[in-house]
Amino acid sequence: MNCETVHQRVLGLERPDRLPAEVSAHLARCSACTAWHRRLLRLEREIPTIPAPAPLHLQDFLARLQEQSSPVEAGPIVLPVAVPDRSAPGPRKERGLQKLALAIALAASLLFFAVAWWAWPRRLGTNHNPTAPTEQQVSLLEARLKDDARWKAARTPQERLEVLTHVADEVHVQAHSLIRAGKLEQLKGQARLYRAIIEDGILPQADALKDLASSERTILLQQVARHLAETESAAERLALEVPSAAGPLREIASAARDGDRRLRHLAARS
Amino acid sequence: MVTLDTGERATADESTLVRQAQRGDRTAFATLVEGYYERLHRWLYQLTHDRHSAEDLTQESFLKAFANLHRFQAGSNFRAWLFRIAHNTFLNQRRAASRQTDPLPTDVKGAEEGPVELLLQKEAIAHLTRAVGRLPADFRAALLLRVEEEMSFRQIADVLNITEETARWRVFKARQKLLRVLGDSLDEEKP
Repeated sequence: MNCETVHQRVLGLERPDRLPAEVSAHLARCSACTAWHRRLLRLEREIPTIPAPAPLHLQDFLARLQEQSSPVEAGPIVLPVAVPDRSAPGPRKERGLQKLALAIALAASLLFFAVAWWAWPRRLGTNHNPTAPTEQQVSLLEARLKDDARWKAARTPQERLEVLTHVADEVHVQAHSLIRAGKLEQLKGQARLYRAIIEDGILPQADALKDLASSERTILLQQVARHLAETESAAERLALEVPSAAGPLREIASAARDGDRRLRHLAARS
Repeated sequence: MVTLDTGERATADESTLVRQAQRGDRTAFATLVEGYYERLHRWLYQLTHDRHSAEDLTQESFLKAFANLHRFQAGSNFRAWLFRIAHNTFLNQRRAASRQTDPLPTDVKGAEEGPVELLLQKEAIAHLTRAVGRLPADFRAALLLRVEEEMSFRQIADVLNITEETARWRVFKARQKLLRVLGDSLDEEKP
């Protein structure tokens, strides 16, 4: 076990103070990793000491709650419309009814999605990839998004960009899980999906951010670009550690790098 | 004094309070509020960096929880359910405000005059506060649920409506970034 692998293992533990035996064994003979581990433990001890202002209105709120009239009458409670309310998971019967409602909503959404897909502005600006997306890429992305409630709830290019960034993350994370589980044959599919998310999802939505103020557009594009740059680094690092998975990981890194470059270019033009 | 859930197990007292609140007992719900208000407020403050927004969101979250108590399944994790409502409320507010960046904390006081050790300690906390504040909101939310609320990755995933693996990833990335930024400043001073 080398030091980098130890760090990766420990950073992903729920309790970094409870180390697996092989990690402890490494620390016993590596003073650098021992020092690194101590810093991590100190970090986690000190985060709860970060100051935050005390709430001001707890007593008023409690008094309001105890009043005879229902507290919800004091103001409207705005819940998302036409989206399953994930804020309050209910009992099983209600979940069954919710699933039925969701299935009906999904069927309607799929029809909407199919229409909306063809209405997407795909090739805005000269910097968009002039190569038409392959049918396979399009269908990969469609399949990934069709059941995604966040995607269905997204109304603007900004919101869609946010969702797609999360989805890209999830695909990258799933790739890591596949490697850990030894399911390397499925990695190629993940890599293709990741590229589809970048080229057919993130970049077109980034192109479509016309209605945002220039400064806001720049900040958002740079944030997503930074995110992709981190994914590129992580995928390249893992490719070195797991040579048998290097091909798909480098494909993910390459897609992230392409996305990063193009988003930075768009940001520079804002 | 009622002990509310601070770990994996919900205490019998909390389950009782929740059942009573579900039957319309406002005093029971008020006790739950008292137990979670400050913690929820602290988490939301760390996400918004605005004490007024944090307080509004805290209250709105409790109101939504009260209105939806009938949908809470007895025996499941009340704390995770409550924080999930709070997170969704925070996301809705963020979308409505169309803000993509969180302002850095404004309430962090600078180092004050005092003994050298106190000064260094305050500076270190300020440095840590800035570093945590600069984390992407998603990473920060997950990390704080792990470190301050001691939630499992499974619970964090429930709160943030993500997979367990993504929850682990976000905590991983947050720790990694903070260690990189804070580096040697985390080394204990030698006596």
